[in-house]
Amino acid sequence: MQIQTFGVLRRPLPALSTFAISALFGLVFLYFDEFYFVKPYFVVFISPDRLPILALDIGISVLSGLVLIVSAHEIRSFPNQKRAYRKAGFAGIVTALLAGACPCYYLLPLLAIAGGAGGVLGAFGILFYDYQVPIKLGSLALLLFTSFTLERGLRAACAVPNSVLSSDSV
Amino acid sequence: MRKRTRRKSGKGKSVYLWVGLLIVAVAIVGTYLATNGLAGGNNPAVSPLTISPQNPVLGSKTAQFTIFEFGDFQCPSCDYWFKTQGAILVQNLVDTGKAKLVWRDFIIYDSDSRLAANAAYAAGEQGKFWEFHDLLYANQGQPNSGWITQQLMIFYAQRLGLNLTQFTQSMNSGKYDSLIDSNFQAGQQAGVNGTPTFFVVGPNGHYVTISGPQPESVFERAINSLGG
Repeated sequence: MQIQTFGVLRRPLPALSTFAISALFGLVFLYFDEFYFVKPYFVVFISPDRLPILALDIGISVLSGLVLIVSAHEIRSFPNQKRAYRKAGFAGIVTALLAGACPCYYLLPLLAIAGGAGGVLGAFGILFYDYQVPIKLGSLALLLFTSFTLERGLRAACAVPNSVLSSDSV
Repeated sequence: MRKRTRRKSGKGKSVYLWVGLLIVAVAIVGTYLATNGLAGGNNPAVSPLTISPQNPVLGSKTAQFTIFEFGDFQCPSCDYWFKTQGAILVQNLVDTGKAKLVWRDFIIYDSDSRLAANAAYAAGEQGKFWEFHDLLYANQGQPNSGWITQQLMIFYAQRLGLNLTQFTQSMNSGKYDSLIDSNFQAGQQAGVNGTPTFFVVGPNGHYVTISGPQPESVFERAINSLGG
């Protein structure tokens, strides 16, 4: 059975957009997770014990790009479809953005240093740091679920109605 | 018919616009990395950091290069750096007499970090600052989880064979509070915005800032760039 999502990515424009978004997300995640540094020199530093976090970061980045573009494709390509599919498209965009934003809690301790009012944010940042793996796993699960929902929407939208099939057979 | 064609081409254009914007964003990030990263970050200005008699120093005091470490005993990134790179740096740069390592506090977590800093300085009075520092990192708990207690500090002091009466009195006296505060202020003035942050200072005062738990090779490269 063909996966419809891959069908969307066969065209150069969605494929390029997915790559660009995934690359952007990836650059941000890997920077804040300190897998690479830009100052004083560009250096990549991956220790074996942090490979699971690297895998999670890459997974979230790739799925975020994919979900965003497939959601946009669903909204754009099936304007006359049931509202549910369009809703799924919008939900996909929101989910991808939320799931992508969750691992950015690293910014919170920085804000805490920046100002006295950031103390609460700092506390949240530390709390999130302690639970970074479950948060990332949650984001990944959310993105996987959304991908599945979008794939189902694409299948439904592309399916030939039974009425057409039965009229053909007659 | 004509209307439909026009609408379709408009949509296509907007998609191209979005993709174009994304590519521009990626290009900006790439350019930033290339210019700020690959080109290096040597600071021609003279370092504002100095070593006070109260700052713990590891290595030869006459070493040409000074590495200031701004850290917090509860900071997981500091712990990660200590466990993965600290020993290599000490072996390659400190033990060889090339550089000395100076500890400066930059407390970003709760008051337990201050307690740990006071305890480490109290151990330092008996010549065991770095041993205490190593014990704290080797057994670090979750930040702000309450793992740093007076009892634990005394237990570590006992393990290091310190005079416990002197250690406890010193730890609780608050006499290092002003040092801890001045370290934080010095860090802020030097541009520290997270831990660990390192400043590699050369013999002429020029320095290189290293933010985050970076590999030891970066320190060696920084020293070479400063004339080492």
